[in-house]
Parts: sequence; C-alpha cells; structure tokens
Amino acid sequence: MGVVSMRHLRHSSLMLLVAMLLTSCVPLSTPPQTVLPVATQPQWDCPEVIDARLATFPFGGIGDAVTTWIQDQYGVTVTEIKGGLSANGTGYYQYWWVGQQRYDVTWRIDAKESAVVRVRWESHAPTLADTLRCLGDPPLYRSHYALNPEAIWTYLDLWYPERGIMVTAFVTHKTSGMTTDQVVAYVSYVRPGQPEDLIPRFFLGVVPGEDRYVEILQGLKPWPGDITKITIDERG
Amino acid sequence: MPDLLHGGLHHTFPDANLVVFADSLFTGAAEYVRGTAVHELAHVIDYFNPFEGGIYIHQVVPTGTHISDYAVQNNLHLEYWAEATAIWVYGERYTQHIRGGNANALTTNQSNWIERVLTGWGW
Repeated sequence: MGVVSMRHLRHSSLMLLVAMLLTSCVPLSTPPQTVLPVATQPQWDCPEVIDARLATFPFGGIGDAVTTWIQDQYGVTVTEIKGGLSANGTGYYQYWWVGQQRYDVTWRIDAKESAVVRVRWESHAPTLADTLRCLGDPPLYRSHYALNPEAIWTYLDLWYPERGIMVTAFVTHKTSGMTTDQVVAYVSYVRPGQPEDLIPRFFLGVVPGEDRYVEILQGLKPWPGDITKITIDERG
Repeated sequence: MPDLLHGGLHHTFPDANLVVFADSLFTGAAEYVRGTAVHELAHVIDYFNPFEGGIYIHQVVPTGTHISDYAVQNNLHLEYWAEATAIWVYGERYTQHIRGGNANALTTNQSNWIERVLTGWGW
C-alpha cells in the first residue's frame, strides 16, 4: 500500500501512477457527482416546511422531560424514540420518525447549552424557495465550501436568530452559486437568541472565542435580498 | 492532479493498493490532514478485510445516526464507515473542527462496534 503526496512525486513516479490508474483502477471511492435532487412536486405547505411545534421544545431539558414532550407532541411511543449517550460521554442523542420526516435531537450532557433539533426529509424535501416563502428573507446567511475527504461541497445556511431556526442546503460539489430550487438538507431549531449566542447552539461543542467559533461568526453576512448575490467563503 | 481525481481531493484506489493525497490537503489545518488520513486508511481497512462470505465492513457498520453530512450522504455506501472511524479516533476534534459542527459523536454502540472491528474481534 503506498501513501503518496503529489508534492513529493518525481516525474517517473507520476507516470507510473498515471499508468496504474488508467489501466487497472476502478476507484471504489470516486468523488460524489450527485446533486441533491431538485424537487418537482408542487410547492410545500408551510406547516410541512417549518414545524411550529418545535418552538415549544424543551431546549433546556434533558432526559425524561424531553422524551415525554416528544411523545405528547408527535404521538410516538417511547420505543420509537431511538438514541442514547454519545460515546465520548459529552452528549445525548435521540431521534424519531414522523412519516418521512426524521427528527434528531442532540444536547450536551451538562445541559449548559440549548439542545438542537434537526429535521430532515427522507425521500423528497422542500426547496430553498419554499423556506424563503414560509419564513421570509433571513436576516443573516452563511455560505462556504466544505473540504470533505473526497470532494468539496458547497453549503448555504439561512439564519433566523429571532426564531432560533437555521435552514441548511448543500450541493455535493464546488459551485459558484446556489439557486432557490435547491433542496433543503435539514432545518435546525434551537432556543432563539443573538447570532453570537446561537453558534454554540447550532454547532454543539463549538466554544465562544475558539477559532472555529470566530470563523463561523465572521462568515455570517446580511442577506443580500437575492440568492444570486450571495458570497461563498472558501472555508466554512 | 485534478484530472486524476475527477476534480476531487483524496482517494483510496483499492485495485492499485494506493492512497493518493492531493497537494491541497497539505494547505489545510493539521487537524484536517490527520482526519483525512484516518478517513482514507479506514477505506483501506474496509477494502482489505472482508468478513467471511465477502461481506465488507461498510456493509454492516451500524448507521442510523447523523454523525456527519458526508457520512449520511454515504456515497457508494462507503463513507459512513470511514467517517465513523475518523470520529472514533478523533472525537470532537473531528466533528467540530473538521466537519464544521454539522456532525455528532458516535453512540456507545457504534463506538464499541468499531472497536471490536479494529481490534480484530469482528473477523
């Protein structure tokens, strides 16, 4: 098994590598070329896009209080709520399904910060146009490229701090812009607050003052009023 | 290099016994370099250590939790295992600093399963 940095390849080695790749290799780990499918169905009803029940989620609660709330609001049984303690012992994780919608709750075990609830759609999802219609223009947004091991992805987060909501969409390649027909990946819900307070809520484990926190804070920009005018940062 | 990697970054080529890291990797933070190296080596472990009957690790790794967007997208069903392994090694250093916070820790069940596989109990 060779582990190769192109920086250090000599010309002959490079030619050998090219020959190997052209003659014998079918990479199992090819870069994702897919784009999340563009929705073709009619526009979504807003209650299906934004779950108003989550405005009353017990973001500061842990354990039984959360489980009881989930059962009461969604009519699921306790056995339908999966999850458990995270392996590193710092957090707790629960998830459940309602139809084709999946709800994930994550919170710190010390309960020092609000829990975050993420809602995603299994088969087809609303588009950014749906969320903009239902929530209006976001006060803030953040768009960046994400370095994944085999591909660079492009993210767009729409921030609604006064509602504690963040809408996330991504495409699985590097692109110069986003469009409103892009499918939403998930919607995150936390206790509302100022943008700087929401960073450790949306991104559990990111601590105020650390580089990662500053990077996210500096990436937040006022919504330009038009998705074609957003700026995509090189690093998120 | 971009042509070889189809415009992507770093890859494991099982038929060539080769892991390729593009130059761009080394312009990133040390955490990203380490995390990506472990991610790719997890692919190597997967490719070269099938269970009896030709079942690969990536086919049976316990999924179900949102450990990262990249894991959940699970391109070719290969990436959840590699992401889970990187998180098993680096924990929050991976989920927060490399995956930007759009990621979660492993559950204890997942962590125990990976430990069994990596210590040879799983095959």
